[in-house]
Amino acid sequence: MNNQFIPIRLSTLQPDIPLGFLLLLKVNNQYIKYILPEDPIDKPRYENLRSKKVKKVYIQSKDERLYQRFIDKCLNFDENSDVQEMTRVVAGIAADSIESIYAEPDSMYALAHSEKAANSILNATKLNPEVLKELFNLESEDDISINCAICTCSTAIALARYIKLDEELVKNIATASLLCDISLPRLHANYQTFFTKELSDFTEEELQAYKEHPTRSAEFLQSIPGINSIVLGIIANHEEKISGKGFPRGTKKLTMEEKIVSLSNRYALSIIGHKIPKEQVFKDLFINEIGSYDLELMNILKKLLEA
Amino acid sequence: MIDTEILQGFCEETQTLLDQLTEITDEFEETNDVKLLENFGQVIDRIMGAAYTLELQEIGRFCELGKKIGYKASQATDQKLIELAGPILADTTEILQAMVSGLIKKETVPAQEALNAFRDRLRWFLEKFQDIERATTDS
Repeated sequence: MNNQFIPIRLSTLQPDIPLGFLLLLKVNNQYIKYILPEDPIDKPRYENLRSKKVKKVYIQSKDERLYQRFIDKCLNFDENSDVQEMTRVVAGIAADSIESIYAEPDSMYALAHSEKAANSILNATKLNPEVLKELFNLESEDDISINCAICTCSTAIALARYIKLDEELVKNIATASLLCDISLPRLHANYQTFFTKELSDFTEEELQAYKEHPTRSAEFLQSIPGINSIVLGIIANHEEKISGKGFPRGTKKLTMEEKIVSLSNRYALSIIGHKIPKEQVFKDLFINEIGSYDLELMNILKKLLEA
Repeated sequence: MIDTEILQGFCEETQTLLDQLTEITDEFEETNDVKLLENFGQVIDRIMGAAYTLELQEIGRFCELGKKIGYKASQATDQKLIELAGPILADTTEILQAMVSGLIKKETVPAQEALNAFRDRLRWFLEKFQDIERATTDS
């Protein structure tokens, strides 16, 4: 054992929670950096190490207290843990990832960041469904576009799980929900205002940028290895409505996953962006948007939020 | 200064016990059987006794902490803590291994900073069992 490193067991690490300390692997008597402090050990990497029978990993002795803090966090990260704390952790992971995506939307890592954020929401909400309710109405200091993305994602997950879609499809839905607006920062300098004002208040230039964003977001991602057509379809169609009055194409033909994200996106924009009370959102939806969104999904969402 | 022959004897005897500890933590990983944690406490207690006899205080103190964790965890009811005890005791075994080897081969001994950090982990973890009074399984 090199004398400045101390062992920890892989089994004590919970995937998808940022570590807060540098994690090292020992390979041929050399210690190599494996996970940086700001990153979590994601599930595939964790499983990969386990499949290779790796039991021990290492930390620097100066990071011992950080490891203890991480374990404390994991010990509390269960179905009995404080829902708001869990929500804060999950939203924090998601916000960090979305920030990275927005900074470099055309980076090949955008998809990986989104999957990381989606997994963190998916795992926490599976562990404790109450977290979803908190995420629906997220109020954090992160900027509005990030909060909207997290709200869209959690709303879409709730709907998809309610109608018992396959979990792999739910993952695609969650991943895509977080990527829908990634082109906005490149399309308009004041894109944050797009989340707070009604379409009728947009200038012509703003409206053009806004109507372009679903297509542009999908274009940013289409060359990334590993991206699939379901994710791209959801992103390209997230502003479409089944009435054909959406944009950019005005198509009426939407898959179930596209309908879910379209409705979730609308809900998030109203709640987070326009700060409309939940009851009022449903009033608007059921009076002004009948025929725009899938009625069954609207009823399910209302039921979920009233529960 | 301890006689080299006695030290050699301690290292050999301790090595056998450390191998047993490794077997126990490996088995615990598979089964989560709390009885194994109690066994761990009994075996490490023997190393502790020998270490204190030879005035190897640092090794003795680590063993003492490991023993307390083993015994207390074996009586705990919090499943998450019980499951965490196994990996932490496995790390303890590894650290002890390096410390014992370091008695003969000085270059393998962990740095004081690493030992302090690890002792801190054991104390931190032991505190989680503060509601369990007995640090042995004697009634």
